[in-house]
Amino acid sequence: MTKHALGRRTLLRGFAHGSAVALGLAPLEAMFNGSGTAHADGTPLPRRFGVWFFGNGIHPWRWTPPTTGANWQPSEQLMPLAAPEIKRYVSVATGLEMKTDRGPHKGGTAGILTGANQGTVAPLAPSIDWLVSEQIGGLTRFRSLELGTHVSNPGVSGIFANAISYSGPNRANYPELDPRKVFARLFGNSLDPRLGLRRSLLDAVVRDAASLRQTLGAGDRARLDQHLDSVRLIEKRLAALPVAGVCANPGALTSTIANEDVTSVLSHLTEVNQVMSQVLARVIACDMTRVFTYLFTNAAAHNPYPEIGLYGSFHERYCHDEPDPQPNTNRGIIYAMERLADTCKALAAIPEGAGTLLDNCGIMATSCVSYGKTHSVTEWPALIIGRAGGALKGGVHYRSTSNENAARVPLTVARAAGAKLATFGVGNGLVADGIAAVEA
Amino acid sequence: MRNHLAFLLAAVSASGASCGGLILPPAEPEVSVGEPEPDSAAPPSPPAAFAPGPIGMYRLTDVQYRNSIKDLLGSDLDVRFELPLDGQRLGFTAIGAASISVQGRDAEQYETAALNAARQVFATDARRTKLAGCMPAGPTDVACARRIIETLGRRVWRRPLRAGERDLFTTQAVDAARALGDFWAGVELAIAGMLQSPKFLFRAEIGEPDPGRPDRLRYTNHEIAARLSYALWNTTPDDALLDAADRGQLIASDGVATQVARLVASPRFRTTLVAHFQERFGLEQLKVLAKSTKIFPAAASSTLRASMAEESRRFIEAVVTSETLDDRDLLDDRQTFVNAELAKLYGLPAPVGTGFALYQHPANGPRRGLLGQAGVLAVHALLDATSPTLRGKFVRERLLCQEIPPPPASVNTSFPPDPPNVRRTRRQALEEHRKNPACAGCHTLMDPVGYGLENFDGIGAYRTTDNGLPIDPGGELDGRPFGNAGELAAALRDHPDLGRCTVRELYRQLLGHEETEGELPLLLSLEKGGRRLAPLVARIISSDGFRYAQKGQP
Repeated sequence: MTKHALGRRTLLRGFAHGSAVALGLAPLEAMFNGSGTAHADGTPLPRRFGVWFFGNGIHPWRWTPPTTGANWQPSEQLMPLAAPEIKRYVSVATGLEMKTDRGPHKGGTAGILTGANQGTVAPLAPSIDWLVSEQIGGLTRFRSLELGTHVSNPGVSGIFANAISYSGPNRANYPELDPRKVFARLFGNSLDPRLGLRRSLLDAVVRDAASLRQTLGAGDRARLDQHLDSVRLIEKRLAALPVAGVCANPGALTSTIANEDVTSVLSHLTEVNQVMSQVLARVIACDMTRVFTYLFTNAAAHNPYPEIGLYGSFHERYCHDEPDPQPNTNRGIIYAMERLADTCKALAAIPEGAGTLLDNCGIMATSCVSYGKTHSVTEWPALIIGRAGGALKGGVHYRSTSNENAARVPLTVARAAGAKLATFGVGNGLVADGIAAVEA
Repeated sequence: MRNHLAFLLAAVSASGASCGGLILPPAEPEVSVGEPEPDSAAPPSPPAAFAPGPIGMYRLTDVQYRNSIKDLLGSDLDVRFELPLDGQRLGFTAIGAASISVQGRDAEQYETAALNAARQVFATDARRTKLAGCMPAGPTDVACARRIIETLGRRVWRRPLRAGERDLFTTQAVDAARALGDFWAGVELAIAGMLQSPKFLFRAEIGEPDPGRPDRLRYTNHEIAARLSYALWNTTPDDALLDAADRGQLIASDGVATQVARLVASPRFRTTLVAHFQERFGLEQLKVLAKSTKIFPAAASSTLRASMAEESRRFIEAVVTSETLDDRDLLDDRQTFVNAELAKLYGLPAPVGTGFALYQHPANGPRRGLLGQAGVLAVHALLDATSPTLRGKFVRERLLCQEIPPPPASVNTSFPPDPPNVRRTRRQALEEHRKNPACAGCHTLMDPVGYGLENFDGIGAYRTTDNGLPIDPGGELDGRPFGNAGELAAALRDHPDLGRCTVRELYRQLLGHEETEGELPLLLSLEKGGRRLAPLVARIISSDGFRYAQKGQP
């Protein structure tokens, strides 16, 4: 039996019994107070921030819902997100425009994620998740997590489109693409008897580096400081390992879905996305991080979608070369929205407090362009998913009639998740206001 | 000479330039008077106007980290750790290494790798005895722990430890040994700590005053040892280099020359030089290159990409180790190496036996040099098609050091759809596209070069038709017409920018930075002394550019 076949069977069993079972994990205990509004120890339920990204844009005429306000009527491309268990969480913002410099794909990615122009090679500013994690990332073991399912050239350095999180210029945080490795990293460390010694050692490494620090110029000193900060974060993580309960020892990940070979992953992308989404939901439920990014496909991704019979480069052969009205490109976009719906369903399947994880998440779903064929920057694709602990309404379609700046979307979601940002972006991308219509 | 300098300056400052022929250097006929110059490894005498480049702090690259661990701790170690991605800048990880840091998950990966490597050494009796040099009298034998930290620490951090450093990690080792009741488990943790230190993960070069030259710095003995070792062998300095540094021999040019001669004579140098060209030609992308198996059924083979990489590796190695070949032959030589799988792809008879065999392409055939090899052709193409634009851009930028700016903002880069009932080749579609003046400036530079390679599909197989129509592989390169890929290779061989570009790319990679204006006279002088590649590297490494730095730190 191949790994693949085993994975499929495991997942099918999972679908029948709920998402936690798909991972072969113990269900989460009831951890909440009587009214379900806080943890049993009285701490309020955390709010989380996420970005879900797909490459190559949308068809605005098939994307924009025909009605605005609450209970928006589903459009063709947003139909997957109208599933009953998630639609109440999904707000749509349309009629927005990307105001930063409009270099194709990369410029749009930089614009929506950093609010700034794209540099010649790499983004010039930190991305929104990084800014949010500066404020709310310090409370959890991981400041933020970067996850994903497919990038065009995994492991090749210098390809900034392979990341959607940047801590600054030339500083990409590349996503982890193999759900098994993510699971092992997050849940596998608890049993090392040397934890205390490792912390002491890391502390020694940091102290010892002081002599080096004094000899460096300002630029290299900042790079050294970033290294030492990262080492201190490991120290903190080791100290914060849960010692009891299912989050300390959740059992083994029984799904054998791997994501190792770029040529084979695409033939079971649906399953990889499903398992990664369930690992994400578990990570969120265990409060290991409150900030995540999820790179479904990268900007201008050249991947085929063999599962739906699209065998050429999606960017080249479909988005650019397929004549209007692009029926096959449309299928690829709908496929991506189905996968987004799978991620949302995995989060909505885990109860938290009186609701589900999605009640306490704010997630921006977006892409690198609007209409891919012309690299259009008006009618920017933007979804605002989750209720962020009550800060977002959920289930609303807001349509701008004045081509408002699309960078309002990340600002809205960041604030809803608890980040105090007066503004976001620089230059033409700068915004100071969120989108009031989706805020509660 | 003025023309040379003008071109180099233009190349340095041309980022953001628009296309309009401005980027092209002034046409300059190849100077060939009498016998070719003999190849020389001796450094040029530094030109009067030379000023050295910036000092840097370089994170070990992926390859450097793995090589260093093996050379420090045991060549039989399993070093298949997950490591942070390299940074690449100006096409080289060695340059990107000067601007990246350790962030997010990187530090975790380094911790896991360090613990893993130290465990492999110190949990194994034979390995630890070989490295340690003493046997502990008990779990908390301070003298033995100190001795190990001192001797191994000097190798890990590439210089003798200061007393405070030695004592700190000795204390870590002994404290951990006491807690775990095991001497070796304590040393294991302390060494894992030293491997996580920025003093190992970064080569932070500081320099020291250069007596008599207050305007610049010189690298210290131990900095030179590491510079030589990482530039020529891609690994940590060996005992001979560290000993020479301890004795103060590496700030003198004859001390450097002795070491350069020793290092260049080793097979490890050959591997490093091959890696330079693998990176310059983009071949590292073959590891993960995705191709549509629907369009290219041969790409379904799980070994094809490795076969492609191996052909080019063998070919580059043959050129750089030859007594007669140089960078021109990388593009225009007829020999190559094929196994059964590549022979099938190329339509050649399968070689006898398993593995690779030398093959000589016919004199009038289309396949010459690296641009005739499947790996290079597949990397510079799309998932499901060729791309004359990408291939032309690669030739201009990476082989000739000419810059092509990115497409202007907000432009529709799609091809106009084919009119109904009209079929076109990729070339015909591109030529239609070039009628748009916003596109023509740059595409006129790129596409016609790529047309010469249109006989090779997206995985490098030969073809004569595209979209059912015959392929026209003719084009021109900076005024020289060519009729097919073989003639394109010959045009590149004779191109006046090729040799200069080879010098620049090697200089950048070996020194880890983009050349500054003060270094341009040195780059020009490095062109003298013949074109063979190994002696050229030796000249660069022995030059003042490698041993001195400008004052002030980044």
